[in-house]
Amino acid sequence: MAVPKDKKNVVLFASSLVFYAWGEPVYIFLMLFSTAFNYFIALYLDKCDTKRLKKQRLILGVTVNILILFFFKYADFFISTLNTITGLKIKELNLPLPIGISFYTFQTMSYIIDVYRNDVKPQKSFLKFGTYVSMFPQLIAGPIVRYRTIEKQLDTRKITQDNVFDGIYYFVIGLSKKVLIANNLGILWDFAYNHMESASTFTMWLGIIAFALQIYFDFSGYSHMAIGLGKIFGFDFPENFNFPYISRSVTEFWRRWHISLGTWFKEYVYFPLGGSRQGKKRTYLNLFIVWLLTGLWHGASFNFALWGLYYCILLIIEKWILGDFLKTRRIVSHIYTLGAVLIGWVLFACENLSDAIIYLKSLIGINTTGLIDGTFLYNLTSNWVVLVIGILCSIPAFTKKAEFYFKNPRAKMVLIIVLFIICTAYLTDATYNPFLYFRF
Amino acid sequence: MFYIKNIYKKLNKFFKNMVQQIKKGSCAYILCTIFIGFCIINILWPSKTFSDTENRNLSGLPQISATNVISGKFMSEFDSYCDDQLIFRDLWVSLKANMQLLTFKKENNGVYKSKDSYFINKPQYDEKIANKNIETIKKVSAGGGLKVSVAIVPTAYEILTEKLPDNTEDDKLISNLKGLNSGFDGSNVNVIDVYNTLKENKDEYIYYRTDHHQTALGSFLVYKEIAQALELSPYREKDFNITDRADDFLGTNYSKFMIRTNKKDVISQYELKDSKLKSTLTIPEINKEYKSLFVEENLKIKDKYTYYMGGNYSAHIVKTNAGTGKKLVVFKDSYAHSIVPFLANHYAEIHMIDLRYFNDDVFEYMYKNKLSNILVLYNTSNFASDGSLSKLLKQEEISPYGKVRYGYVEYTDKADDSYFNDAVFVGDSLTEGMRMYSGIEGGHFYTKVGVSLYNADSLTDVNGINIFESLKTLNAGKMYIMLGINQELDELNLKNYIKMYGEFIDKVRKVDDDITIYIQAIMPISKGAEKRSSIYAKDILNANKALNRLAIDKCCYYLGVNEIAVDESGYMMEGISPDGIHLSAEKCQQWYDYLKYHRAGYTFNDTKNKALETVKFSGNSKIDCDRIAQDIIKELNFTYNMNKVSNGMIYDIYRIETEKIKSASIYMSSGALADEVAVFELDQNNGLSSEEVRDGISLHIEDRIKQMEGYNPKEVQKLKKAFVYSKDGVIVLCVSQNPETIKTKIDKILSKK
Repeated sequence: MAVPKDKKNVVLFASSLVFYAWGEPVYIFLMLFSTAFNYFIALYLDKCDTKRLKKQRLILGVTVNILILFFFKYADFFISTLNTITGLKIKELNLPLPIGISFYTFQTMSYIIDVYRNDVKPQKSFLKFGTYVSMFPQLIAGPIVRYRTIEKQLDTRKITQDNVFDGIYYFVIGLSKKVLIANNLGILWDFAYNHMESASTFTMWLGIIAFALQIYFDFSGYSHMAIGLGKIFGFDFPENFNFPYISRSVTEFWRRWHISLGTWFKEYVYFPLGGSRQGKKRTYLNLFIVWLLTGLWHGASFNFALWGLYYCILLIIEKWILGDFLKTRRIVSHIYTLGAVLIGWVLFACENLSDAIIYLKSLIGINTTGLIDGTFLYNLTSNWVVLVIGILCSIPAFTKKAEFYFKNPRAKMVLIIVLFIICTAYLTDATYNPFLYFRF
Repeated sequence: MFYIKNIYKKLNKFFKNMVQQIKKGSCAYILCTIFIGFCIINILWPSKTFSDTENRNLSGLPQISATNVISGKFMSEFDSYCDDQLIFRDLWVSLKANMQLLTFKKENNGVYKSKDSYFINKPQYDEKIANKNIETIKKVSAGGGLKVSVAIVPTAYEILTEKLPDNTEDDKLISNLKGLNSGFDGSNVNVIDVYNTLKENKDEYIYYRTDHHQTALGSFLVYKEIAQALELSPYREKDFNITDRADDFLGTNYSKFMIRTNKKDVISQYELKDSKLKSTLTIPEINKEYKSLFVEENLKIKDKYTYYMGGNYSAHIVKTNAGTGKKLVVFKDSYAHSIVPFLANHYAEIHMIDLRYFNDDVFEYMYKNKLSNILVLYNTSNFASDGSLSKLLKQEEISPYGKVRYGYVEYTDKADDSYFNDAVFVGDSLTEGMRMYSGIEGGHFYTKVGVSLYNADSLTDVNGINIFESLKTLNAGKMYIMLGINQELDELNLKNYIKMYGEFIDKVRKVDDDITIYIQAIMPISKGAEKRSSIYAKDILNANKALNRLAIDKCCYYLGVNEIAVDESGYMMEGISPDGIHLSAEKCQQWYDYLKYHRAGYTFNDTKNKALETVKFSGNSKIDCDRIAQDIIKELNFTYNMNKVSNGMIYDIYRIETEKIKSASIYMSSGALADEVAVFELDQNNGLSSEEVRDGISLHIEDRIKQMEGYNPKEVQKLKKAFVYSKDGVIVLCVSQNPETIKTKIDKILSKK
């Protein structure tokens, strides 16, 4: 509004850099290097005469990106695995993970691949490209915005009152999801995880349900905050979540969960590998590769790899036999999907495999103090309000109704102010404010 | 000029537009105005430096500098500045508390909103720390020569279980804490179990509603149990005048939960009726002396619990005119503050040591202050989660005084005759006999035939100068006392005998504080002699047992020298005495030999005190760490003296093995302050890397933050801005109020030769 049109990107780029430097004063140079490298390689790609040369340059570009990601994110995992296998004693690097590296590396890779495929034209302005890579609203926790989605918005975008208002609305809703629901349920999950060997079966179920809601509201809350900030600056980022917990199959769940990541892997890994068009065996192999990578993208440990493969197996089974069966049975399909996803979250949330096994056992009543106990009742009575709100907000029928009541902008404004005040109160007295996406 | 005008015009237009839009009711503009307005008010609002409700210093605006920004320190400090300086902070915090209650949560920041307006915090339990603390106490006690008692006081969570919100009782936690006492089974530690007395009185006002401490009544109940176990006769409740000194105390648990309560707490004081007892309280750390154990001025501040003993400090010294000559050292947390005033009615001196902040050598402190009665007094939660008690374990090993144990003296290497040149002997005809027949050449004798403790004060030296007068100038090293054969020692008189013995020792110490005192066992008498005199052989045996205990109480040594003359039945051996009382020349020589072979502070086969061994570094030190540390201290102007920490503590404090560094020098504040200066010289060949040492330092800082948080929260900020610097194989740690000042000078200090 107050910023002249031609200076918008300058302001955004500069504020993004300050924002990133606030959390990572040193690694900002890594991000700037990555930005510059991809900027030049795209220009360079575009000037190639022969296909072969073009391909070579693409391979160079992708390799450098992957090497950066590998070095900062996976090197220690690789070294420690190598050490256990071979008995060597290579020293681990112990580098802190640069914030957002998984997100911006994937964004820049999508960009150069799209340039290679002639899907987009290379960005001539370093400022605009820098604005795209470093854009602070989504830099830290996604969504992974592909260059092609906002190519035009980098040049021309309008900041309207409606956009700003919607943006604030999205932002505050996202903040509330994170601060009021996710953080509160996180305490419940931590309790269950820390009392794994002395709790009742119901407490353990409560714990993993709390985690499922925590990670959903945490992650989608961040996405909403990013989308909201984007709107304030005149950008339209795609939705990253679409009510995943109402899915009736795991396949559907992954179409609704972290959509931008799923799309990325589909576009830049699954399809180039041949997708499902090269026979059953090849399809399964492709799925295996995609899901191993998806798992590892979430963190450098065997837990995440296993978590990815767990979904790979479920997807193959669904593709193979279960798919039609689920389509016809409504209730069974919901129960199956939620059960499968919750088991997935156990693998995801436990710090190591042995913990995950203990937790899974306790869910079926092995080594618990019984089915139900006072601790469960206490945790239920003191958390049911948040749990119910969380569950209701995971159901589109409810949220649509709620949005209908708050259609009037005045009502919306009141809601925003009230939520913002409550969030501020919780943030002021925050003893618990985890940041789940540091690992990504 | 034109440019500025242009901006002004634009801004003016912008604001006009804004006002118009708001008038029109544009939600976007209204919201933006609210948010931006909120930020501006926040920035303009004056900063506060201290929060009364939270009892801590609030962070101020951090200084910006290149190193600060690169390390990210500026940003994190700025974040906490924004957090702390948010306007109406208390209001926000209590809004959250109310939201918690509204969503049926009875817990906020680790505190339960319990029935009957109680705020009860959940105690902590760390099995490893609890066991280590138990092992430490057992080991200190097992060495003998120190009387160790332990009272671990349950917290409200364990006693007022019925007041907790339904189903919040963690049975496992409660039974773990209750089981702490059983950790001492089979040891010689005197365990004082106060659980039952508190549980029986759970319906009384024994814990504060808004604070984690015990009320005066709760403390009185604990005192009664402790006094009984320490063989004092405890006063009854009706012996006290009880007055309420404040009725508007809101404690730490209230501050943590932050929700209104209409039941504030009462601070009361128990004073003995018609008592002439006067006590003084000295807090060396702040150089203050009070005429009472209750600090009147603290009734006006927020944390009114500091009324008792003035609050948390590394040491409190209580002196009374009780005249019992008894001394006690209390290793404690803040629970002791309301209990010690009761105990003060029975002791001449009580030294309270808070090991969380006390950085000096505890064993040296006990040695110098003649303390041998130890009371460990903690609440269960601190005992099971704070590891600073285990400092004693290491100190016992490395302190030159760590092996000092009173009471019985073991067999040692033989002393030369010259060893007795600075010895003083006090006794009757038996000692005179020893002087004549044993061949002793040195020594100063204060003896008289027929003397007893009733008239020992009038003993003189050869020149007729009174013993106390003469001791003043003599500069004697050791004193051997044998008194008792000339007075009644039966059950009725034994207590009096021991009391007089103790008073005699006190008088000696008054003129010569450093003298090592040996209490010699009374020699036996023969059956024949028993018939002739008013003394019985079995009374002598009992008296000797009491003397052994007295030796520990009075920090003296007991010599069982009667071994050379007594038979199995307690009578004198046949044929060693002409009259059944006085010893033959041969026995007198044995007596003298016995003294030569039994020397405190020596061991067999090792003439040097083993405890004096020093710590080994990897060697080849090229840098004078101590000089660097002292230079830094000079620059920083610390509030209180910085004391050098023994190198043997390095591993204990930083988990840094001394064999893997070349040298080091550590200074810590003498008090409950976080101030600290440490300098390490790395061994680049095969020692610890810079990272490893820094890791050790940062773990230590984390530990210190944890320790300081509940007790001297003002110090946490200092620790958070701890300055760690490494250059050319030297790592420096500075914790102080103003580490900035050292940053500019550190290079100069390091490069100085």
